[in-house]
Formats: sequence, structure tokens, C-alpha cells
Amino acid sequence: MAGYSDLRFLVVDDMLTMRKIITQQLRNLGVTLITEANDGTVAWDTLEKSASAGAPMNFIVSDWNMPEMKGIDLLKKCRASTNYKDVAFLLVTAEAEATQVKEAILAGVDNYVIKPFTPQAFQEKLGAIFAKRFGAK
Amino acid sequence: MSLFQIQEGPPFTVLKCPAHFDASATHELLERLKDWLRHPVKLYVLDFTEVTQLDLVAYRAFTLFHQALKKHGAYTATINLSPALAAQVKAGGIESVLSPKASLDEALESAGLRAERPSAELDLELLTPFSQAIKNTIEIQANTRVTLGAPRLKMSNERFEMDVAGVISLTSAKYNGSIALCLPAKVFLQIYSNMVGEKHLEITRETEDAAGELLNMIFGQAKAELNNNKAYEIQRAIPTIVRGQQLHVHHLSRGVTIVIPAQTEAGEFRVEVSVEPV
Repeated sequence: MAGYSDLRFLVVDDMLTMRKIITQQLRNLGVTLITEANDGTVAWDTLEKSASAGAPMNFIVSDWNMPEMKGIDLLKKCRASTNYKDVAFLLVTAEAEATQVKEAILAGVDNYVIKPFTPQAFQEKLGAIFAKRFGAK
Repeated sequence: MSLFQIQEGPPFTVLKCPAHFDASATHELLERLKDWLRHPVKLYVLDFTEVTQLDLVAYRAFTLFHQALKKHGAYTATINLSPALAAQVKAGGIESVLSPKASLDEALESAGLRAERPSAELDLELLTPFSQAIKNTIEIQANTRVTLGAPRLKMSNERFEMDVAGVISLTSAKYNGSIALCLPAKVFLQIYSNMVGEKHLEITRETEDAAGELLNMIFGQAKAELNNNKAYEIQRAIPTIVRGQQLHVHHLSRGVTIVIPAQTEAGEFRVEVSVEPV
């Protein structure tokens, strides 16, 4: 069974402060392979490059609301691609409306954390995805 | 150099009077009166917080001040009189001229300047989700205890000392306007430290976006509540961040600006909600 330390994480948020918070929480869980992107467009570029290099990302933790490509569009792009159709995808966002949660679920998100969040809430959502996607590895 | 500290309107002007209201202060008051009579604002408030001595020479000046402004349709009032001065004013027969009031709010109300106050419906429906979101965001994400004050109308000449602010536009089916999260450096740095676990001595480009992130969370929660339950149809928006000394947020909406004050151990910050009906 894989552990968090075996996985390559991509953290996507236009706010440096939130990337720091998420990165810290991932490190506390034992994650060591973390790449950051400040927008969906940059994230997609990173995803393509890492796949070409033979080391595709395993887990994306993304904000929704970003200036260029939004997190929901990044999610849809991943699910429509060959390399990332099964990538673990956690949305961490202040967008808490019922219609938006529904849109994310329909787009294939694995889980959804609404800001503000406690470290416990983040860990629980991450753990649930981990168990679903990597538990039987 | 002026003996008074003056905050000029419109719609009102407040004059913080010197500790000793003597002949010099009287002279300056009458000199300034000449200017004000050219373009008077609605209300002139004499703030007696610092005043401990009021000379007889001022009495006649107060009468002139009051009568001249009254002729031009302006009101006068006095606030923060000590009990001793209040007794002196009463005994001197100038109570009706100085028109003492218990507070600036009462003075504004007496001049009809509180008519802009938003309706109770607006207070509750729009402001409550924002108040709850402020408390939730700062307490949960930044692990910082917050005590909220009662929302109140922002005065036109009000200044709040802050060093960083996040501002986001509000576009909806019911109101348009803007929301600002305003933070003095001391409060911001304490919240940042509690949130990220890093201590900084000043606000930098690296840390300033926390103001935007916090506002984003406050806005997101309030938006969800108002859209899910009140059909506001508030649009998504991305905050902008401003940083600097002597910052002042000027909302462009023509409606009212409401201040939601919030107290932390490190000091006070505030959220300003400025809206006008669609």
C-alpha cells in the first residue's frame, strides 16, 4: 500500500498564503513531493511536463476561483485527458454554494473542502480520497 | 498652527477644542466661521473632550457662531462636555446656543443626518451573513478569537488607521457595491502568524495576500448564505489587495457604507460593506 510520501502532489492556488497553509498541512502528513502553481494554466503546464518526464502528478489540491484557468476548468481538463483522467483531485475553495458543489461533483471531483477549514477537516477529506484512490495499491 | 483638530465634512464638521477655550481659541473660531459661511456643511460639532477651562470671552463667540450658521441653514451642537462644564454652560445661559448632545450620533440625528441609515431589513439580511463569516473565518482559519461590535453607519469623514486592505466588488440581483477588509499592521501580522505559523515584523509582498484570502473566505461564506437562502445571485469575484501608510478606502457606490468592527487580542480590524440597491 502506498503512503503519502510516495505520491507527487500539485497544489494550485493564486494566493501564496493558502499554498503555504496547504503545503504545511501536507508536510505534516508526511508528503514530501510537492509542486506549487498559482493558476490553472500554470498547473496544466506543470501536469503536462511532469507526465512527459515520466513522473506524472498523483494528487491535485486546487482552489476554485483563480484569475486565468479556474480550478473547476482544470478538473474538467484533467478528467478529459488521457494522462490525468484518474488523478486524485481535491477542491479547496471558499465557493460553498449548493450549485457549485453539484457542478464539482458532476465534473468528477473526489472531494471538496470549504474554506475556512481546520487541519482535521483537511486531513479527513484527503484521507478519504487516499483510501479510495490508493488504498488497494 | 490651529488650536483645534478639525475633521471637515460634508455633511458635517467636527472641531476638537483645546483644553483652555480662551480668547485665542475664540478668535480662531470666529475666523474659521467666515470661511465656513461661504460653503456651510449641514452640522458643526464642537467636541469638548479636552476642554477643562472655558473663559467667559467665548460665550459671545458661541452665540455668533450658532446664529450665523443657523441663518445659513446649518446646525451646531456640542459633545463630550464634562459635568462641570455642562453646569457652567447652563449657569451661563448658553445651553441653547451650544446645544449639548450625549454623543456624535445624537448630534447627527438632531441635524437629520441619520436618515441615510439603512433599513433594519438590510441590516439583518445582508449584514448578518457577513458578520458570521468574519467570525468563522478568523477563528477557524487563523485560530484567532474575535469579538464583533455592532454594525454601524460609516461617517463621511471617518478615518481608520490601517496598513493593508482587501477589497472585493459585490454584484448581485439586489445590491451592488464593494466589501473591504481593513487591517492595521499589528492585527494583520498577529492573524498571519496564527494562520501560517510564521512571525513577520512587517507586511511584505509575500504576506499581504493573506488579506485577500481572508476576504475571499468571508465573501464566499456570505455569498453562499445569501445565494442559497435569499436569492441574491451574488457573482463570483476576486479580491484586490492594497498596502501602504495612511490608507483610506473610498467606496464608489452611492449608497451607505456600514462598518462591522471586530476586536482581537492584537487590536481592532473592520469590514466595510458599501452597497446601493440595483
